[in-house]
Amino acid sequence: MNQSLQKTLQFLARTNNEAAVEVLIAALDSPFRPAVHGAVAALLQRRSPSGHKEIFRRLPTLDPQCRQIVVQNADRLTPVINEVLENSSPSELAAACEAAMTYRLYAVIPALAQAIVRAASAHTEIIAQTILQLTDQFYSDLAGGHSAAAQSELTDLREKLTAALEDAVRKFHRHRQPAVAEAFLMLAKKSNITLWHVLTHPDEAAYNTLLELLERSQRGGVIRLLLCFLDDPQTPRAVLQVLARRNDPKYLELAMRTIGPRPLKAVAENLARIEKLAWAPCHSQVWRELPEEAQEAAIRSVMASGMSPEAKLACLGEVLSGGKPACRRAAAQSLAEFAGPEATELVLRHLNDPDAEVRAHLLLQLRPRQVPGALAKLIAMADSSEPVVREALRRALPEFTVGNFLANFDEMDEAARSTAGLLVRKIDCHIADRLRAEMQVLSPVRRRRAVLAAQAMGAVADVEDAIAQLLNDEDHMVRIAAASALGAGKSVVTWEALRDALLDRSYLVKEAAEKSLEVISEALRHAASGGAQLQEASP
Amino acid sequence: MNMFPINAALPWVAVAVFARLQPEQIPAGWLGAIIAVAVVSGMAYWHAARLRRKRRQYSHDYLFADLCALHRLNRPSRNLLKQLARYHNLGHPARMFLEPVWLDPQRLPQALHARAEEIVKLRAELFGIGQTPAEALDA
Repeated sequence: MNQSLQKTLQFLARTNNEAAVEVLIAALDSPFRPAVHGAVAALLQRRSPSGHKEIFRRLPTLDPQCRQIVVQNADRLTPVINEVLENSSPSELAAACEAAMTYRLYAVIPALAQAIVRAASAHTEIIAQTILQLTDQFYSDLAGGHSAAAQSELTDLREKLTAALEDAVRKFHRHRQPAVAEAFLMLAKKSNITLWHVLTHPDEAAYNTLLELLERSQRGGVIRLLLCFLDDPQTPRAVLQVLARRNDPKYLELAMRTIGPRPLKAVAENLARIEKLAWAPCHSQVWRELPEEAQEAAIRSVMASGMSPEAKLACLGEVLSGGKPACRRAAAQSLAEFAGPEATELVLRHLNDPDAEVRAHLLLQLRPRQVPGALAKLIAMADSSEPVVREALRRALPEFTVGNFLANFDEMDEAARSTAGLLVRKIDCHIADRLRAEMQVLSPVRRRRAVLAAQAMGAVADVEDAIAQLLNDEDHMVRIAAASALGAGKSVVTWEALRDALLDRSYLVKEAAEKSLEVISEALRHAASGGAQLQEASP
Repeated sequence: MNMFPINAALPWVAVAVFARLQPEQIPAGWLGAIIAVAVVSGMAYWHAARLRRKRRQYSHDYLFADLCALHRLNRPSRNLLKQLARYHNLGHPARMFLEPVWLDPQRLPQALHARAEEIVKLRAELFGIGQTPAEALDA
């Protein structure tokens, strides 16, 4: 825009001379677009109602740039629209509603609420829909990221709007518009007095509508409000029933996000007051559509609810059969709370679950349930490569530790030592540390036993260095055991230590070292011939 | 308005009178007359200012004059704009500053044809619109 024209418009926007308004209004009809755009901006900048009214009157015919200017200063139109709503013809009222929606004039909501309460007319529904749509837009703005100042402004406005809508809900019998009640539910906080009053007084005109909206509305604000009641110990019974009855996916997903994998104490207490959940896996299939974390929260909710043990067990069965991994894990863990043949059957049925953690939870329950052949089943799983299963096995088979193995070592025959030793090696992951510690104790008997135990468990390679050191032990029985065990040694250092042991003062140690070296050289020769054969076989 | 010089001169007169007189020698009549004149002239000034202010709150003439002053237009330019506004029957002469259509040299009255160049210059000054090829051809 030309600087002189800009200067003129700035002057006309600021001057106290009210004749400027007429000049600016006349300029709105000019074919010169910069003047029109500038006149719209200047009229909105001025506080003259006549100018604002003229812009409101011309809203439908404004070009996009003018509309943009109006959007930026839309709050200036609020008084005009309020005035139109107070004493207007139907056509003006419809135009006012449209303008309020187009330009997001949230400040108009109180006037709309007053208009709807004042008298029922043919336009009541239009007003109600305008209120709802404006509130919906406002709620989106409220939820969006804003600066602290803007957020505080929006919060203040929210309080004003809630107060206006509260009045409309109290006088619900005058208009009976669910849209107004829905708008109120979107903005109201859980602690709102009117909300509590209506929800605890079935004789209130808005009672049924509010409950119905809480049960059906798909608007985020309404679902948010409903879920706020989850952690309130004073939640009205009617609202709890709504919480239990709703089973649409959007609500369920938000509810499960609120409840989370570990429900708060207050939430759990409220859930315990619910005897039937419409979405529970034993009643409905809607839970299958939920994401993994939500399914997990769902099963936690079922367990915290006041449902019967049979229903809960049925839910666990459903979930173990078709739930996502996190959900199955939660179900397998929760299964431990149930005794009885049905629960045991579930454990046995899902013992081969593809998820290792689920298997681990179920393994732990085998022995406490006194399942026939539990030990054999557990031992059969000892070959599992999953750390979580091995950890579960360690807990399920506490007797299979290096400590116990060493304590009973002397009572076992060669075959039993070998079998038990291999099992201990598979189950106990701390064998190397324990054996090393045992090889350093003062008692030569225990040191020798540790070497023999390592040999029986096939764990010589894991503690090779510690055994090699025992070739210099003061007790020749220990040295003999070490020299024999190192026949399974794999490192050059071990072989050198065995070569040095050939000079030991004890004949038996020398003999044992010799035998071990023979074994090692035989193994190396075998490996070399195998390698040569392979090379010959390859083209 | 003609009271302003008296009003402005009053304090000096008062100083001159009171400088020569001791407090007990001040004639009560003089004093009364001076106070009365001061009050009346003050009220008249206040009333005139109020009227002027009131008139400025809604006056197309003042608005036009203010805009002329804003753009530092000289007397001939002001008169020219006024003449054009009158010719185009504009109720609000200030519109001349918002709508360049009134400064179109091709829509000039016969009497102002001679000043077309001046009008184009004014239009360029107020709206940044120079002479169009058609206008140049016409000229």
